[in-house]
Amino acid sequence: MKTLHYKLVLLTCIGFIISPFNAFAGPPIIELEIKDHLFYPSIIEIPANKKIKLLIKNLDPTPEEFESYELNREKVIAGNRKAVIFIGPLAPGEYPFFGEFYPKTAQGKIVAIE
Amino acid sequence: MSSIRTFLILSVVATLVLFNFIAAIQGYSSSMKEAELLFDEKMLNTAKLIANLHVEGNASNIEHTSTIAFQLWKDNKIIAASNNAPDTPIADFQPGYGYINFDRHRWRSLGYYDRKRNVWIALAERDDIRSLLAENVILKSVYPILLGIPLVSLLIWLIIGYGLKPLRQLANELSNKKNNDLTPIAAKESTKELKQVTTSINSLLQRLDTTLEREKLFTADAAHELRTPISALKIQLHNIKQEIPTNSDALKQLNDGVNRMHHLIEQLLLLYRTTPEELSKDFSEIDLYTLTQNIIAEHYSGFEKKQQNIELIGIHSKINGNTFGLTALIQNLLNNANKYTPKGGDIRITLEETESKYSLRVEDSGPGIPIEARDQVFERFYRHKNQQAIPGCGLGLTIVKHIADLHGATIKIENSSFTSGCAITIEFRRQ
Amino acid sequence: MSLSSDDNRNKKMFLNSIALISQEVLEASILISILMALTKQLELSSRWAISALLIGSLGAYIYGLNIGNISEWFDYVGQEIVNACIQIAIVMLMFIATFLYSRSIFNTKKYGQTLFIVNATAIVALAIVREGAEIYNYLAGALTHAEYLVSVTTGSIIGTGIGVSIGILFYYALGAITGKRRHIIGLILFSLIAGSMTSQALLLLNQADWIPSTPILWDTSSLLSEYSLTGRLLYGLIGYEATPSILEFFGYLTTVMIMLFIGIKKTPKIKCLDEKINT
Repeated sequence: MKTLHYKLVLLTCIGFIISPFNAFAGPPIIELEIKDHLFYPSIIEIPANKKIKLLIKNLDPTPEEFESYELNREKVIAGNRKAVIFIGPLAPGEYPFFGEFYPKTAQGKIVAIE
Repeated sequence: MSSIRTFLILSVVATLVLFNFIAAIQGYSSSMKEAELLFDEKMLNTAKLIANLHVEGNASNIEHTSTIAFQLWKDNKIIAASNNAPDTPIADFQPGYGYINFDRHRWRSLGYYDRKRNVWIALAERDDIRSLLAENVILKSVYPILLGIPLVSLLIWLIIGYGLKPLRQLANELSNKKNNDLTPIAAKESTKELKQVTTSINSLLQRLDTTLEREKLFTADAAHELRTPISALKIQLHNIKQEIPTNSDALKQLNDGVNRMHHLIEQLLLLYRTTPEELSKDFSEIDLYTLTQNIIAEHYSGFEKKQQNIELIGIHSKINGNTFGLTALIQNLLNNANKYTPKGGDIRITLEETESKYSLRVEDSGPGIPIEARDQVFERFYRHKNQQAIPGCGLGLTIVKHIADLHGATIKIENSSFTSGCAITIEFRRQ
Repeated sequence: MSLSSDDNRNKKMFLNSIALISQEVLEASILISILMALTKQLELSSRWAISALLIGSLGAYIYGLNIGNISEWFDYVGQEIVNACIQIAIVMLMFIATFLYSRSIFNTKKYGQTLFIVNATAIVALAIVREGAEIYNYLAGALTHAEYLVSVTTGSIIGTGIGVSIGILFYYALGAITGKRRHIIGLILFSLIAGSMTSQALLLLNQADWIPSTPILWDTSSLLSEYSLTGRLLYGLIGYEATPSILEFFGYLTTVMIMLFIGIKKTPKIKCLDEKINT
């Protein structure tokens, strides 16, 4: 009995640890482009309470930093490169983000809807 | 080591920079806000203007300008627009300002409703151009602060340096003071704070001077007063020997003890009789060679007893000095050589002359003085731990140093040219 | 739904440069201040700070140049992983520094001093690599735009001025505190910085989806917004975050606890007295 219980716990642990790498249950991917220091699209609607994989393509030659205080996210995306940021699960609401390097133009928001 | 100057300069400049920069940011922010309001107001006027200029029914596109865009909406249809405006609304159909992205730029947008004609005017102005315009003007007010900082820092650096000058002078004066110089210090530029310091130091110096003087007198008096009982003791000892002619060990030790005490007292007296005031009174021309020769002759029995070879090499050179002091100096050096050199050893005295100095060197083939002890041997009552067996009181080299100092001479201790032993060289400056 | 994003933050390149640069500079300068105050108290030379600055700047330049390639590691989350590793390494080195500082190793063993110096150099150099790479990327990009040149340059100078000035004043303030209080205040600040580094590392790992998301513990963004200048300075100083997750909070707390545990000097017990009582 005891060994079985132990094995079960171990399995759950392993499952928990490797689950982020599990390709089958990957979170939905949402693409975001940066061009001329602007985000396209600038408003993204996502389902609330779900993990989202944000794929950001920087089409400018200069680096940009994706930053959002509401999302607690911060990442430099080099010029002409791609980057991945995981967000969520988020409660319903608006989450503004901006490009920290060109905040005057690069602004947008994520809207989580139920 | 932290310096007062660095601390003052860095902390003052840092405080200045911090507050000036924060003030600059505040100024910038409020000016920017004003500018934004101004721009917005201008936009509203433009919107009104467009509404009034509009000719009903004309749906043709109006020549576009790059920094503003507009649309005229009537019944959800564009009836006029600038070339750069998209087909979709560029402002909400409700009065007020907002932001929107189109045509590869971010725009400030305004929705304006003209009640008379029942048209919505959607006006947009390039946001980056707006802030660039405002910023270029407002930043000009920040430059003086930025450029002023290095200038002010330089001034602070100079002012603080100037302010700390009296302190630096005092420190210099104190560090330049010789060990035995207990004369009061003079503050050149007297400030309130430093006045207290100099007064305190001077009163301390004076007290120290008095104490030292008293100590000197006391030792000299004590030594002098001890001379008489010691002489009496010696006579009594001699008498006892006559009366009880035994080879008693205790008696021999008593004799040695009394002799040692006699020597110590003589040395102490010598040390205090060679004060600067006493010695400098009668300086005369002295031939070092003859003086040394006489002293060797006087003490020849001592060297003979230990079968030591003693040689004197050199020239007759005359220096200005005190006979009593120089005699004591040479006597002490020779006495040391005699004491520490083993039986059958060598002692050599060399007198040399160069363009700038006369030197007197005494070499022996004794055990020598270890390098680490060479500075300490001049201290009063210092005796190296390896030499405790040989009788002595540790004052010999102190006296030598003392007299050398009074003659402005320097002392060097080196290894002798024999297989062992030391060489002590006294160098007198040539006048 | 509103057509335009009615954002009232009104970001300016000038203010943004100040905020970005001052925050990064402040994080490094506070670390340098504390470590320099400690080396001064241990009567060691502070020359290590110069080599740390040089090594760190070189590292930052190399890291900044290669950020594009590094980002693509680990399936596009390389940047998070590298940054998290740097943060964790700094925290570990800070533990060691505190251990060395608070134990009597200094009095008895000469290598303790050398170890402390090497340790301090490594901490500062690593911090600068991380902060400097971001500054490098920002400036390398922003300065290619002629229209931003003036505002970005001015903002960067002001940001650096603020960061360095606070560091200098901090250093002297720490030096002005005497006796046991200096040890305690220095230790608390050190703990808070280490705690902030840990929570940042956890946040980065979560962003890379290497560790699971945990619910947000509280929201103080209405009290003190993270994007206000004060908020950003406080973030640089003690890792202030308006919406921390449970995991970040506990990571922060654990690090602070460990640091305090390592750093608090145990007063030596009088052994013979204890023995007497026992017998």
